[in-house]
Amino acid sequence: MQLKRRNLLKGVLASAAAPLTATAADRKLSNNARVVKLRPGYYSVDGWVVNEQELTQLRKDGLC
Amino acid sequence: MLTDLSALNGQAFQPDTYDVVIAGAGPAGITLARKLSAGGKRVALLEGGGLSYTQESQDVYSLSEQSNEFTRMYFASTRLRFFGGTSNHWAGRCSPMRELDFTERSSAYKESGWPVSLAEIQPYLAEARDILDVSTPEEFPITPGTVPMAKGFEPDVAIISAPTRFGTKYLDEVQNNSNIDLFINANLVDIRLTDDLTATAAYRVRNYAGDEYDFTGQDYILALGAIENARLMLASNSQLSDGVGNAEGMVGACYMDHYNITMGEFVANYSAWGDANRMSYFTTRQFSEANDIGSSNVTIKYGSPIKTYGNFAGVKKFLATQSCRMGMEGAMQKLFPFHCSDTGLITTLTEQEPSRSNRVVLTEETDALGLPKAKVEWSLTDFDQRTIREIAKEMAVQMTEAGLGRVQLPEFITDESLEIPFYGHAHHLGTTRMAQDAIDGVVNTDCKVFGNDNLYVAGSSIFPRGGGHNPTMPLVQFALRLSDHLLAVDESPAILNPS
Repeated sequence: MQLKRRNLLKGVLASAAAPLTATAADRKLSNNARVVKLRPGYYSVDGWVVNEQELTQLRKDGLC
Repeated sequence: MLTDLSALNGQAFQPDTYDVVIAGAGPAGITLARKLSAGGKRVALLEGGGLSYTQESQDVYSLSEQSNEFTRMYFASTRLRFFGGTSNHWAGRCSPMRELDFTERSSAYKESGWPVSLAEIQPYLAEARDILDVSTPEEFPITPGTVPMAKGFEPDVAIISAPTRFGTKYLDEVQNNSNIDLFINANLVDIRLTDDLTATAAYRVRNYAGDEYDFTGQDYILALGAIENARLMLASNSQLSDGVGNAEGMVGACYMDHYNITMGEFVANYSAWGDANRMSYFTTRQFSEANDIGSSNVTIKYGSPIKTYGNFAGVKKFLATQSCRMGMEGAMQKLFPFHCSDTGLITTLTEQEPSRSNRVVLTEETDALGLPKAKVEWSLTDFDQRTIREIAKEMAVQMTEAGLGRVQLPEFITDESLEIPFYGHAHHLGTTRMAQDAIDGVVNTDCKVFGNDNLYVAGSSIFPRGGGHNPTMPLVQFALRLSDHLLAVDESPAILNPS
């Protein structure tokens, strides 16, 4: 699971930032992540800010 | 001329009668003394401390034990009580006031705003910049490399002063000025009123041996800082039981600072930062008005060296450094606070709402001079919490849209049931706020205390709103404006006798 999450996050979260981002985010993202809508099209997932597509991907993979 | 009241050793001393008596030799007091003397006024400038730091003087600033430990430490470490005042450890950032600060926004604020316009302050900007050694460049610059954002924020502008230490820069000039008499170890302990209680008759001043002297003049100015201006007005209660200028209970009310909060962390997308590792923003007028929130400077930066504080700081720094290398910072951060050097931080200087629940009050405890110690009541209002959360969320989204990095917001931003941990920026504001009338404040548009014909207040205690700007340059502007007012008023020699 940990490997899957890391790979997923590298693909999803790193799309908008450096590859390092995924590693740092992955260390802190929990399996039952808390999702809060910030603005139309933007959410926080355990505090990490993601856009709509990233959130969709995370949900599809059961990460939040 | 310089006179050390502590060196008099009980000898008889009768001060002259002056045109203006100023209590407090910080940025406001020294600015006033220089400008008034240049206009021909004879000035007595009273400094409670000496020419350099002494614990004896600094202890006079100690808050009551009734204040919590954080508040006591904060106000003990963010003020200095010797010639030059708090400019002796000023950081030097100068940022201009904005039109929005002077706009009446009744849907956002419960309390009144500035009863004067920005246009009335602007003529003093160039002179204030000269005093603060930030005359150039002509335009306030943005932080180099700051990336424009789509909305919500614009690049902030500021100039960093050397910084100017008023005590160092102006001591020789003040001492050699034939129109200024500087008195050190001269602690104002009572504002004496005329028999009819409508004007100030004398400043009663005490040295550390307990010897007292009455300083008389035509006009009197309090320039002691926001906590002490209120404390002295409240403590001068032998003739008016509620203190001087406090008929409506506004002295001490609406204490403000600027909130210093880490609103988030981020992992930088280094390619988007270029050579920069720090960008500085300011909330746009449209964003503040649309959300009924205050203004804020927001700085985003990464690459700051690891800092640790308190006991065993060296050991903690070693442990922090190692844990950052090993990816174990989360575990170590539970033991003591630090940020890894590659962690990006979103920090702020955020406006606080003027609220009557935040105020300076007196307690039964007394200091070495016999004055009641102050207690500062200071907490976040709903406005403050809304301001902080809206700004943090918008900055996180704008940083994401601009591709500057992956942002993580702290839980207290996204969960409104959590308390927001806050600190200040050592910007003590309010407590003798400027207003159209005494119901809303303590001084009028000329900085004159309501109900007193010749008592004025200078410094950031007159600010009815804090804005999102640093206060030193504006307070110098207002001190220059007050000087012009006093130089322009009727010169009739109405010296009043103390009762």
